[in-house]
Amino acid sequence: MPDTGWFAYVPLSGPIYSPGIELDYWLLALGVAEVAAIAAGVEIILAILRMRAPGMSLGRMPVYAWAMLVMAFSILFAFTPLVVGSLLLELDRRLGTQYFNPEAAGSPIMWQHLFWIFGHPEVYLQFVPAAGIVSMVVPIFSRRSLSGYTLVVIALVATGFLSFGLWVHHMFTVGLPQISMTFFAAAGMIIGIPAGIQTIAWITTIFTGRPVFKTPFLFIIGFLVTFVLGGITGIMVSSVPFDWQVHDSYFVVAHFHYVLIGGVTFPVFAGIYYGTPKFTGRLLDERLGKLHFWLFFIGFNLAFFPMHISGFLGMARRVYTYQEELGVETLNLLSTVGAFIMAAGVAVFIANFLYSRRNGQPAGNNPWNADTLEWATTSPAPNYGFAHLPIVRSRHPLWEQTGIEEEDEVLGDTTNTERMLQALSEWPLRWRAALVTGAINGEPVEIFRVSGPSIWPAVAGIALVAIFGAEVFSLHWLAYLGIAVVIISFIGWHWPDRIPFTEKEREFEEQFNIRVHPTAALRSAVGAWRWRSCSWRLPLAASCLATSTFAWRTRSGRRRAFRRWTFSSPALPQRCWFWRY
Amino acid sequence: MWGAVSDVRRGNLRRLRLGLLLTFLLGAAALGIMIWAFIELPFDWRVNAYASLFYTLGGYMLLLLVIALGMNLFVQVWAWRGHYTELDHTAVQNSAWFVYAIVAFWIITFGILYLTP
Repeated sequence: MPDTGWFAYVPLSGPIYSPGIELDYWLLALGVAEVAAIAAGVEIILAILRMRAPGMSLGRMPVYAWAMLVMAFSILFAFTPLVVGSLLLELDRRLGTQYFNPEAAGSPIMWQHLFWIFGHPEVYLQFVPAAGIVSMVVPIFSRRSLSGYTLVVIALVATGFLSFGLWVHHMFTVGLPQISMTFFAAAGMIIGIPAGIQTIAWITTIFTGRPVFKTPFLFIIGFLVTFVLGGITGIMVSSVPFDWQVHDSYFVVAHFHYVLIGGVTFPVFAGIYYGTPKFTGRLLDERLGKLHFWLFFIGFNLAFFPMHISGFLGMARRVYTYQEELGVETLNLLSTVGAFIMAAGVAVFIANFLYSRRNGQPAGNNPWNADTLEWATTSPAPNYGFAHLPIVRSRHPLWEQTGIEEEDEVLGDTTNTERMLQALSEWPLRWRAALVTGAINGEPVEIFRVSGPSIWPAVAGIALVAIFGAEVFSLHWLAYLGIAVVIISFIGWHWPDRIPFTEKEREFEEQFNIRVHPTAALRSAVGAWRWRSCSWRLPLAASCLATSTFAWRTRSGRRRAFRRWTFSSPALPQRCWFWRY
Repeated sequence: MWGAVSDVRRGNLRRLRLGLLLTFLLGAAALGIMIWAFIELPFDWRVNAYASLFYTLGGYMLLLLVIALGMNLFVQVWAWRGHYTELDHTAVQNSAWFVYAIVAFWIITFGILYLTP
């Protein structure tokens, strides 16, 4: 095990103090995860900006999609410094470069900057999608639209920007110049504003709505209580003198668990209870769900609230024991008991999930009376999404538009777009088509061919993992082999093997005045995206073994679904996936 | 490269091939010069942080250039085999974007390495 903490400060993580291969494994695994995350970020941005349903302008986009968009952009900018940092550290360790060696004009502080300029936005990478889930679930269970949609979206975007100006608050005790500490302390306080805007929007929505207290909503209430507490302690620690006092104490542990478990885990549980019917076709059990919530909520507060006090009393972080004179035994015992109660809550959740997969109440298309498009398809949703694409004319299509759930609606007085979508649902037969829409207005721009299923992206993904894995053990020949395989698979992936452009396509172009792209134009970006998703998921799975088992199960299920898909199907490939998840 | 792209847009395949070939030759020459410059360097990467930086950035540019040449090579093979038409030339366009990006990086990187102290 690398014994340098999760931030691996140099010189402790450098070649002198950590000579073994543990840290190399950590750095290279991190490298795989970075590549995978950046690929995923690009994919999410592209899908959200160019593959929405026709008519879904940015102003009609669900807040969850906005949150994912902000997250994907943050991934691009946050993971890049980490790529650089981990690369430089690995070069220092393996090739003898001098980046972090102060005796050769290097700088150990540079590692801390590179790490935290990733490390702080990373917290918001977790929080922003969770905030998106809250903005999605709150209106549905309050039975009204989200109050202050525009402000919430602005707050999300602002959070994304501001999160990059905060990293130094992890380094207040390093001894940096006062001016930079002042700047970052102010930035730390400012980011409370967008969080506050969102919180007030959620509370207003609940207050003016008619709430239904189902399990997802209970988790949202739990989120609001814990997240606000965590936010308040966050404002406290952003003040430099206060931070000096509590740095590396249990107070900080309490703060970030209130923010991360309160701000991320609670919404994620809400999202799981809310979204599972769309995956499995069955609702999770309500009684077990409520038991899960109360165990988790009580256990969480029992575990982490006493840490505020034990931190003040001098309980330090990252130690396995403590001095008796501190007088924190009772508080620590409470924390331990709370942790076990939380674990019991999670066990109830797992049991609920397994039980409800087979015995849960059938969900139907839209069990929550939700407003977004994913609830217009069957549960579980077909793998192509919509055979006949719906046209979005409202921010809440399922509340305000009629007939959107009937895929084969008979069109009377129709517009060009409607006729085009009708024709598209019956054509083409020999290749997979996808509709590209405008990034801003969501108007149809062109139809492009998505390439068929391909093994190459998965081969590239496996070879990429092999390269990093080989380097851990200095098996250079295997790494070179991996490079060769990556090159070959990229060539295979991009090999031009298309169905020729025929009169049928030309007719379609002329009839509906839309370009049919003759090539698999965006194949490297969108094509065969299921396999592409494997190509980033595989490396990701390699670096986090704990989640890989679950990821593998879901993916193998999808692959089976994929085999069922045939080229003779008139269906569109699965698109608009971000509505469904 | 720019010439090649505008030619394929107009459907002039012969000039596309010539443009690609010219790009490849210029790129290969640049690669040769870079490798020669590395060999001639009077210090190695273990001396100090600045030397490490010089080698890392230079090596990175070298890697990008090799990738660009590889892309160019395959586009070229397909161009000679007559794959591209005025409607269908995304691969040419993509490899052109990559070359433009490298030129931009190049100006910044070598500006930093050779002109700044």
